[in-house]
Amino acid sequence: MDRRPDLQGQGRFKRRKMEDTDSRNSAESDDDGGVKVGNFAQPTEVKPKKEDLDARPSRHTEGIDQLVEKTSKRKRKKEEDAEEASDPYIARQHEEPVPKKKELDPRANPYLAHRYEEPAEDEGSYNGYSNGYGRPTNRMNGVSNASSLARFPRHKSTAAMAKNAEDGPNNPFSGQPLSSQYFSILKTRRNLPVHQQRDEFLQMYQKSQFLVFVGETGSGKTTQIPQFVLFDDQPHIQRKLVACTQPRRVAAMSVAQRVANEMDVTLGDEVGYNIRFEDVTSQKTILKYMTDGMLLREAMNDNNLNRYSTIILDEAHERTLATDTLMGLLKEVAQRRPDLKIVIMSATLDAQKFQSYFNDAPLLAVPGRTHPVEIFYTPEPERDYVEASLRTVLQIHASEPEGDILLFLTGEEEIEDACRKIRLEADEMIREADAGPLTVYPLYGTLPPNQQQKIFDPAPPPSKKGGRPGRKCIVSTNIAETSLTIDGIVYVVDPGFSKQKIYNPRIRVESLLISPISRASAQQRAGRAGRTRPGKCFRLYTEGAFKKELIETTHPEVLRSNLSSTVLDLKKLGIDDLVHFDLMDPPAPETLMRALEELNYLACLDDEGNLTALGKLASEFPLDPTLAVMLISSPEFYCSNEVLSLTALLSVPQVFVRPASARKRADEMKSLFAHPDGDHLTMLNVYHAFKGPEAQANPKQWCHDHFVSLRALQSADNVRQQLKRIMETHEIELVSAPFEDKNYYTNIRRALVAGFFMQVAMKEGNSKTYVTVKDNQNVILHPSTVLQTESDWLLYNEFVLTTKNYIRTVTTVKPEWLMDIAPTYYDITEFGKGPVKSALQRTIDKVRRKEATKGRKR
Amino acid sequence: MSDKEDCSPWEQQRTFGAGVKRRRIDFVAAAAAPTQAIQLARRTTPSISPGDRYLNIVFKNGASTEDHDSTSTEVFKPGRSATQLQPDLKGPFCEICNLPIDAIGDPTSTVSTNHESTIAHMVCLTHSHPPSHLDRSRQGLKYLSSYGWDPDSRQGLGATGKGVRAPIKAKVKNDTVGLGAKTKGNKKPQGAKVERMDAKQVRKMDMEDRRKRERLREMFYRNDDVEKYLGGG
Ligand SMILES: Nc1ncnc2c1ncn2[C@@H]1O[C@H](COP(=O)(O)OP(=O)(O)O)[C@@H](O)[C@H]1O
Ligand SMILES: [Mg+2]
Ligand SMILES: [Zn+2]
Repeated sequence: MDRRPDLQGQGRFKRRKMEDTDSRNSAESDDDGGVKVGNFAQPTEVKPKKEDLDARPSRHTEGIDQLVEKTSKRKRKKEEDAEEASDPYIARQHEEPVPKKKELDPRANPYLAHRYEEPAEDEGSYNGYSNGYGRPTNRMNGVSNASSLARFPRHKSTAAMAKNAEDGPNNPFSGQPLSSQYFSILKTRRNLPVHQQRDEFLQMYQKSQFLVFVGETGSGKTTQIPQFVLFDDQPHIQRKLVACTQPRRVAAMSVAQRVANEMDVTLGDEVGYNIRFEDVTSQKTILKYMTDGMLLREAMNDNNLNRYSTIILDEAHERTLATDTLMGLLKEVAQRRPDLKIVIMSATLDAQKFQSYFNDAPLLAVPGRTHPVEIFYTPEPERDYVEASLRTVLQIHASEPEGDILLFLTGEEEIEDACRKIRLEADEMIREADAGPLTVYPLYGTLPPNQQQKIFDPAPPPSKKGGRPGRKCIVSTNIAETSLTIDGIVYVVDPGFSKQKIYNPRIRVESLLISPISRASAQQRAGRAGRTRPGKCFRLYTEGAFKKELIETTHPEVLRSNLSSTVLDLKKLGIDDLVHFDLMDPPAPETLMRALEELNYLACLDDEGNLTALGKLASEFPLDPTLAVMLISSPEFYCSNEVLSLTALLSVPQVFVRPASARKRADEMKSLFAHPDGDHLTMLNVYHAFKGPEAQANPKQWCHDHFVSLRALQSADNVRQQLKRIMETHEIELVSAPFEDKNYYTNIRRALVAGFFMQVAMKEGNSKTYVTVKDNQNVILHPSTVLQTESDWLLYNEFVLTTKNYIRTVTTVKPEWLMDIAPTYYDITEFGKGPVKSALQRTIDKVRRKEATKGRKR
Repeated sequence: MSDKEDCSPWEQQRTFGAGVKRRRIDFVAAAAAPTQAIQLARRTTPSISPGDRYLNIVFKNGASTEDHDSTSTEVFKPGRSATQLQPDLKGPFCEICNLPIDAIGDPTSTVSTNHESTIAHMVCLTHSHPPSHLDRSRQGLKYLSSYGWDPDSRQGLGATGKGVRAPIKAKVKNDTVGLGAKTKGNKKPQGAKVERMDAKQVRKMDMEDRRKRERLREMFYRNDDVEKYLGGG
């Protein structure tokens, strides 16, 4: 079992880097130093330098260098100044200006580069380091081992050459001396199955534009292949990057951290990540892990994805909406950009589908090196899968030999709840039956990164010498199915469910429903048990159910989603023929029609289906079109600040916390914030209170006392920040009415209508039920609402599909607003006979009468 | 059960009793070979056209289906094979089903009509499908049509028109009943249970029914296309 020495993500952030370089420095002086030249040993690298790579000065790239220098100067000026002021390191550099060996050369600091404009004499490094923004930093005649990389013929290199470069002693990309941690990881990396096929991979990669790469989870696809590509593709010469997409944010973050460790660089430098609302990359970045959604966003402003020399679509088998869209897009981009390389990586055996989709692209499959997994079923169906799964975990702990446990459950709450119960029971087992210690970790998408990293911690040791071995148990969503590989898992418990999105275009409701997984998923889950040694998979269903109740493969997300966001993206990408757009699994026509119609009502598309100015602007926001349109129109209602906060709040998990044991108390606290007109305004009140001095004095305590989630509020804060920046770029005004204004809240409610006018329900007679406008669904208010006022018209954020249909997060609105703000949607002639139509008619009449009396008075 | 998704913090919830260990969860080994072996086989069974299936039954020696294009289920290639199997049969062959027209009885004037009413012939006729239910006035349909999609073509979207034709249906699950177990709701007691309703409920149900009927009527008789289709007007 390989236990990594340094997995604590924060470990390698900047501050720490100081120590690293210092220690390296001393190690360095012990060395004879004969082969290594260059000033890599400078103790000051906040940012590693590239000068060592300039092994063979040649002149032919000079022009580029200068160009880079100019552009980079302009682009970076601002940042540098800020950086310089705050970074004690750089300050120190000024005090030691003499560029001696092992001393500081301010020229070497890319952030100070603009101060040294005269082109250096020995310019024109073959290996000029930059990714399109940076400049070659230092022209010292480095003739170090790094030259092995410099001599690499692009797209002609071999595994042996790469191996040589990897063996150090200097980092081939940053020029830094390599740490001992690096070498210890390198050793384990070279044992991964993909390393056996490095040459084969390179040959296929070099020969063909598209390559499909298939390997079992854990074979090293995500962490190794992008590095293989780096050595051969040398994006830094091209001033480009290699991108590797991940369907999940968690995976992008965690994997980037891991690869930064593997490459012995600081996360955010050569290796970075980019997920929605978080960009940890710099000008130095040559390998970027990113969510597939982020790459799609980038494509909207750079239709040919010119920043990239290679794009790796990882976890393609997950078939997320963004990955599917990207695949369709890349098929087109590839024709316009013959130099672009595309690697599709997938974990399933169903690789032929990818292969034929990409015009019979070559396929490379890495044989898995997994151990056999024994599969068990229950003889009878289980009455309660959660309870059964807990029992199974404890049973394993009580009676199976050493080895960690992975339990798949469906969502955050279920998981946290299960963790708590397992811990309790395990404690009892330890006390009463002398069982070994059991640490339990939850794992799901919204978990903060530092907690995610914990799952890689080794299992606890026996509680006393010679006692029973400890064990860890990870309770995860299907994130652990393929995206993250956790070594040491020997037992998998699979209840057969996961939460899946599903969209019904007829009633326009998208919901997350607990659904049976597919047989392919079940196989993947079982496979997790065979990573380190033969394992066991306990399925909490019968073998018959496996065969009969499970579908073969999970439906791709594109068939299960509301597509309005995707259609907007595609339109922005210049793809108009949505009928023939080559998706691997095209959506149902009705779903696409719905999306087009929604966008038309939102005025993002005109009646001919062309993108409008509003549509273009809306596509700049990483938001649902509804939210984007609401945000963009908010200045018209004098409340863009407030709507911005609300948008952020609606983009994060639930703000209110309601523990079962303290429901009453929680409800009381919530009522402190309650606004009579509904939940949106109540959320806003919470946010305002949270930003107030009292709460900010001790946010954690304040949130605890008021039963709100600190994590949700903090991430709302972060999201708000990001959205604000986008608004500023596009000159969308940030305005507020004075709080005393009697229309303060009314304005906000009206602004909500500008986005959510398609999510409105009207009261049915005198009953408690409402009916949704146009879709005619009977709904009732979710019990969580604070709403007190009897209102005939409600705007809702969410339609919750259960045996009863709930609308959640509601705000009262007025029918005259609806007709005023969304006249096309509320065009009365478009409504069929019914209570909604008559209500709207009454409103029209009322307004007319009022105007008439006004007119008479005048 | 009503607010299942709400109450997040677990910390203070009722503890899970010591009963956990009481009932053991039994497991049986998989019948199949233990490991990775279960391949996700792609469906390869060629689809047999109804015409052939029928012929398979009629001619016991089995009309072969080998020259069938397994991907198209809509286009029938009627029983050429049948002709091969019955080489001694003479007389005119029907163009639609490729069967000899005089298979039954004398070639009198009524033969052809007789033939057309045989099941073998009818089953080989291309069906005319009812038009799609989509409302023709929809904006979204206009867009798709302008790029060449025909709602009545029984084709999906995509480069080759092979996309799904209807959205996937959702099944709501809001309990923790295990996979394959019959939910209580499914085990309806035999013999209709009499439900008592007060007048208000009855009225409401009645209203709902009426509304449903109304909607149906609207759908059929207010839609030009349907009217055209039905009445040729
Ligand atoms: N964050 C991490 N911490 C420790 N080890 C890791 C981490 N991520 C990956 N690994 C190791 O790298 C190996 C390869 O993982 P990965 O590249 O993600 O495989 P794949 O993408 O093929 O599923 C894993 O088996 C594991 O040993
Ligand atoms: Mg992976
Ligand atoms: Zn015939």
